[in-house]
Amino acid sequence: MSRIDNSNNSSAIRNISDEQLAVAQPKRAAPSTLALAFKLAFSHLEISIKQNISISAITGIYGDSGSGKSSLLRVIAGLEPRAKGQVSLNGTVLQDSDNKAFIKAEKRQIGLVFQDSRLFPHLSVYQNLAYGAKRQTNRQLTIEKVLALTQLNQLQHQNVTLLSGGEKQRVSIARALLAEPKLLLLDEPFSALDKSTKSQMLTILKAIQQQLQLPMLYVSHSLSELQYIADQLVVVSAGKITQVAPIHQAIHQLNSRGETSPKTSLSLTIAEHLPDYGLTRLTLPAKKSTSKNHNIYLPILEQSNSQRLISQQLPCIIYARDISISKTKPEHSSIVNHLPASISVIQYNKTNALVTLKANEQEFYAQISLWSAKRMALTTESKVYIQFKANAVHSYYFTEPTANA
Amino acid sequence: MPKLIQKLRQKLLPLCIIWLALQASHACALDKPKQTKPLRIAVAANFAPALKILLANLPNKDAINVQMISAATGTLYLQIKHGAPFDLFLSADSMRPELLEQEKLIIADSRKTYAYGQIALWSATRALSGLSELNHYSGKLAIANPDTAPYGKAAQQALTKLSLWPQVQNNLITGMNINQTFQQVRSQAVPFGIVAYSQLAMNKYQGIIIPPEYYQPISQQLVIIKSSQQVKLAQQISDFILQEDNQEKLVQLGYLPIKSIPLIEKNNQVNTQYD
Amino acid sequence: MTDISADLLALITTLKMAAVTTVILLIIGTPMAWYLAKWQSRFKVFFEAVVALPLVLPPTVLGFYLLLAFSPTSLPGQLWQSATGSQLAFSFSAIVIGSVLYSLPFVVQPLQKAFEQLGDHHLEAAAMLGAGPIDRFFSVVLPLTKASFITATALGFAHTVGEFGVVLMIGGNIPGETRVLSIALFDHVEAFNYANAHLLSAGLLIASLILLSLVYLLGNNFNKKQQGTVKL
Repeated sequence: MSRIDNSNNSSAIRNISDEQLAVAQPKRAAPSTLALAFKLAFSHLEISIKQNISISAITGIYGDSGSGKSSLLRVIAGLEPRAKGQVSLNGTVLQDSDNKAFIKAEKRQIGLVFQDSRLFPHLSVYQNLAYGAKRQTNRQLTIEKVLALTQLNQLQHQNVTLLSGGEKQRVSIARALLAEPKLLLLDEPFSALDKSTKSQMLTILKAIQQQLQLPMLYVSHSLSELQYIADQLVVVSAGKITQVAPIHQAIHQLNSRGETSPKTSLSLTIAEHLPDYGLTRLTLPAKKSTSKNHNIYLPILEQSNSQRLISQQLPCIIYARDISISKTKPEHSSIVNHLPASISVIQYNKTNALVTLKANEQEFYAQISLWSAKRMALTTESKVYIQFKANAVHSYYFTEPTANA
Repeated sequence: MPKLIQKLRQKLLPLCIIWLALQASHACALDKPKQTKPLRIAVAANFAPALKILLANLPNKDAINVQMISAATGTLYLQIKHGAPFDLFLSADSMRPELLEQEKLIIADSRKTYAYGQIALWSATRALSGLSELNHYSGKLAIANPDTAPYGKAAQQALTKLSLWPQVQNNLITGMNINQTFQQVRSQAVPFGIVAYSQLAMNKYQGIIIPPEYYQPISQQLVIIKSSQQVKLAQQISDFILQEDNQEKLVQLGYLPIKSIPLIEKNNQVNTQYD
Repeated sequence: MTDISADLLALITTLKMAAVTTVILLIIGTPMAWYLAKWQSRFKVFFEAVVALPLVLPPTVLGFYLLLAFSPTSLPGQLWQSATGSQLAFSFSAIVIGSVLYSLPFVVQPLQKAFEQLGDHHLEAAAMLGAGPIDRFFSVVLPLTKASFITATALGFAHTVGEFGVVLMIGGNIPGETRVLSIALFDHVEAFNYANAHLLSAGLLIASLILLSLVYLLGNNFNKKQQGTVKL
């Protein structure tokens, strides 16, 4: 099903980018600083957070359901007056229970996109957007521009209750944007959507972020979604922030904790599309002058010969279970990706071994059976080859056929 | 925000219009009666129809604006006690006027008996031959509450006098007031009842009058309320009701005129001797 | 005055009383319903019970206590008199106040239910878009609970029109001021004016039937609209 969807998505995305080029150069905004020091008690959980977060683009908030990540957003939004402690944004105190200070949600200039969209059922799409817009004194965005950004032009006169899930969330984002927030919070906005719609939405959201330079906090329990959209990750566990790190580093730290299925997270530069081979070539640049660039291939991103994506960074995930290790260079294989690497850590688990390797200073993770680890007599520092199929390189940009998903 | 106000105005406008319309119609409707300050007569519900008939012949009735307010005697008493703007009060008993007198809420010496009530045995299902029909009757019997309604008290006295009280006591349906008792019998819900004879007379029903000597006279009294600002007019109406010709009219309406009182008392004595 | 014009006057008084009462009920009942719906406390049930009391208390009993309160000799009655210069008991204001108390649950309860069902979701969304509390009420709550406001208005109005005991007690049955239809009707029955009573009853029944049907028709249309959209 996704062939058609793909091309639709791509053309849609192209429209945004054209729009983007037409509308002046995006200005680099200074990162927003969120200072959090509060406690909020629920019957089943106490949220206790003391952390400063600097948000330059999209910061992901990751955690299991019930870990308190939604409540964290609600406190920042101003929907939890019960929270004890302080919250401030860019030096402005939003709430401070010690000094009985509390700026109401409607005065915070913070936007929140809810998981369940919460569109006003008595208003049309356009009226929903206008609701936020007409309550702002200092308007920079026009409804028409936001309709274009969120691709809602065709739907503006629709009854919101007749929209699909993806359309509803686009309206919800558009509405939030028109309230012209200084910080946009998104609470699992796409969790109810199918994968192909989700990837389309993520791409749209990313483009909006880049164009408006609007800092965003994006909550999700899907690491792959966050990996694609966020540049920084905040990990929440049982009401506490356990980790704040750049996205790839944060995901690799989660690998060693054994909390998620281990994976390699990296951003690669799109080098060229090879329609004849059905592949797109990415490069893993050499970090030292002595080594050379490595190529990594994945199923082609665009059917056309478009140069549009060339030289852009593409966030990719390769699951450790999809990477295998060979002692010799595997030249006679259908597997397209093979890179020389050196083993840095071997972690023996109950049923398998997780091998950390480095290629051009980039860490890769390979999960192999205990038997293979023993038979190959792998040791740290040994030089090996890692190999993985083009299909093993996942990116949310690419809408995979459902059979492979 | 201006839009909000505009919307608010849109929503409230119809309500305002309705209200204004009501105000206007109210004012129009009241224009005529308000030319003269109305004289308010609070009248016991059972006497209201009779009073209406009497007042139809008031000599200068076109110049006087009379408002009749009828309710149960007890209710009217309570309302007068708490400042009801009435001028004249025609009670169905003598107890409430006496109480008002004790409470100094009436014009001195204005308390007068204006009629005596009579009770009658009545059935809406068939014509009755006489009081003896009750002798072997074991069904339901409707009377007004003897503890609160004067006509009920009279009914109890009469039944006691006839030595029927023990027999009917457990089959009584007691109405809050005599009008309720009348409705109960009229609707044929209760086969027999002791009602006010005035109720039968005015509705042209046939019943058996219970002789006045069987019960204490039901004296109905009127008083002029102290807070009245039209004492003179109230006095005029009071005199009018007590006038000879109007008292005669009361007989046709089922009441006994005030001059009959010595007669009743004499009869009572005769009767006692006879018993 | 003829019976017909007297009845017309009673009708006008009734409509005026019901209209004023309903407007007041909506003005005070809405915030009451709101706080009852949003308030999380053990004491909430107590206040809910207080609002429901007029359903339990016989109207004449309620009327009796109101009469005591409104009397010129009691404190509330005196306060009213010194504030407005006129007596409270047996005035139009008195029957309006009595009706407001008597019909309170009929307005508060449907609104409270509606506000509870509405929940906080749309209100939070509106707050995040910069709408303050009053703004939220008119732009979100009112349009989304329109059907319940119609029901509350209809019930409040109808119940006030049909009111008897309270008005009889504190109104004093004064023509043009406190004599309402239900009392005029009762007077006709008491005075054996059955023809007038039947006429008035039939008029009252038909008018109420039309009014309530209209209201429920409106309510149903809203419900249908909302249900249809929710399903899709």
